[in-house]
Amino acid sequence: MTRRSVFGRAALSVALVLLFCLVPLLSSCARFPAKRYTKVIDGPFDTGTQLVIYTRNASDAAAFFDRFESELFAWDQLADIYYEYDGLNNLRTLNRAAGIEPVALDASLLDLLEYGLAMREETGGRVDLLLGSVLSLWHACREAGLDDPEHARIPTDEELAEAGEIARRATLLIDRDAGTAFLPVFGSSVDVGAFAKGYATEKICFELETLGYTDFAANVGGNLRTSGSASGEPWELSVRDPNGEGTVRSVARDGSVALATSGSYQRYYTVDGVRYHHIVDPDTNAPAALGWTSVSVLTADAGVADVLSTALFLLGYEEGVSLLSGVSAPVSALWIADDGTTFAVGAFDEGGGS
Amino acid sequence: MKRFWRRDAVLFLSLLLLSGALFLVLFLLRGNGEGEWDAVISYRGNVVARLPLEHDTEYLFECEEGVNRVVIEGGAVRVESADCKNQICVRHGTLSPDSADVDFISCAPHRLLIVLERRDP
Repeated sequence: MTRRSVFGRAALSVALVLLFCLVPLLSSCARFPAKRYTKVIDGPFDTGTQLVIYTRNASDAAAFFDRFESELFAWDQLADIYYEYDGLNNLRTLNRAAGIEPVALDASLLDLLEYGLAMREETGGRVDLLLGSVLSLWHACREAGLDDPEHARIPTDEELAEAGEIARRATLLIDRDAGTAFLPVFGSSVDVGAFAKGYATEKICFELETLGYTDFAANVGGNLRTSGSASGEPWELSVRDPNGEGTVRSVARDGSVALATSGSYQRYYTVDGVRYHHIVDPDTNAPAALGWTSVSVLTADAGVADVLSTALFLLGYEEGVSLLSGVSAPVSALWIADDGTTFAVGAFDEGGGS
Repeated sequence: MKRFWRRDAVLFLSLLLLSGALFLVLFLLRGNGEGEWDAVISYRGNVVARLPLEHDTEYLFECEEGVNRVVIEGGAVRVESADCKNQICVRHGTLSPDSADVDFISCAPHRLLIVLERRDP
C-alpha cells in the first residue's frame, strides 16, 4: 500500500512536470509566429506594388521578393505600349509594325495576346485589346490635360470616329509556329491595359506557388492576389469606399484569391468642369457612362478578376450578372453606383461584412 | 497519509505557478514580437522615412517631382495634399492596420509609395 502510493506519486509528479512544462513549450512554437516581411516596388505598369510574405526565414522572403520583382519588370517591358527597350520586341514594336509586317515576340507575350483575344470573345467585346487606336487618343488628351488643365480638351468627334473605324476593322494574327504576331490594319494597335496587370500578377504568383512559396500577398497597382494565409489568419481583402475613407466591404479568405477593382473615381481628368475617366466604352468610343463609380471582382484568378471588373464596369447590372453566370469559376462582385447604391453577388452579398 | 497529501499539494501548486510564469514570459515575448505599425514612405523604391502610427504627426515629402503632405492621425496615414497632377494619392484616403492586409498609397507622378509595416521589436 505504501509502496504503491510512493510509486504512484512519482508517476504523478513526472506526469505533472511533463504536462505543465510541455504545454507552454509546445504552445511557444505557435507563439513565435512567422514574421511579416514587406517590400515595395516602384515603376512596373506605371504604378506601385506591395508584396507581403509571412515566413520564419528572412532569406526566403528576400528570394521571393527578388523573383517577383524581376518577373514584374519583365512583364512590364513586354506589355509596354509607350516605350521600347534595347534588344526586346514588345507591344510597342508590334503596334509600330501595324499594316507593315509581323513581329517576332516572346512566347509569354503571345500567350498574353491570345488571352486577350479569348477575353474579347468571352466579354462580348467589352474588354477589347484591339481598341488601342481609340484608347491612345484619350490617353494623349488625358496626359496633356493633366499637365496643362487650362487647355485640356477631349478628342474630337472626327478623331474618335476615325480611330473607332480602325478599331472595328482591326484584327490580330498570331502565328505560334513562327512565333510572331501581326496587326494587318494600318493604324490599328493593341492595348492590354484592362488586363495585363492582373494577368502578369496571376502568372507570377502561380509560378511562385509552384516553387513552394505560400502565405504571401501581392498588390500590383490595385490588383490584389493572395496565397496561403496571413500566418494562420485569413487574408483580409477589402474594397475601398470610392467616395470617402476606409472600406465598404471586406472579405476574409484563405488560399489563392484575387480582387480587382475598376473605377472612374481615381484616374480621370476634367474638361470644362466635366470629368472624363479612363475606362472607354467600345460602343461609344467615350468613357463608360453606365453610372458605376467602381466595380470589384473577387475570384481565384487575378487575370480573370481584372478582365471581369472592366467588363462589368462597361455593362448594366443585369447584363453583368448574366455575363458572370457564364463564367465557370466562382465569382463575387460588388457594384458601387454613382448615387451610392451598391449591388452585390457572392461573398460580397453575405451579410455585407465590414 | 495526510503529510503526503500536503506534499502533493505543494508540488502541484509550485508546478502550476512555474508553468503559469512560463506562459506569462512567452506571452510577453510574443507581444513584443508583433510590434506596432509604421507608415513607411519610399521614393523610387527606397525608404526615405518611417513614421510610427501611434504618434500623430505631419511629414512633408519633397522630391524633385514635387511635394506631398503626409498626415498621421488616430493610427492612420493619409496624403492630405499634394502638387501632383492626378491627385490619386490624396483621393486614396486613409490607410490603417485594420483597413486591409495589403494596401498602399501611391503617387506615381512623384514616385512615392506609402505602406504599413510592423516595427521590429
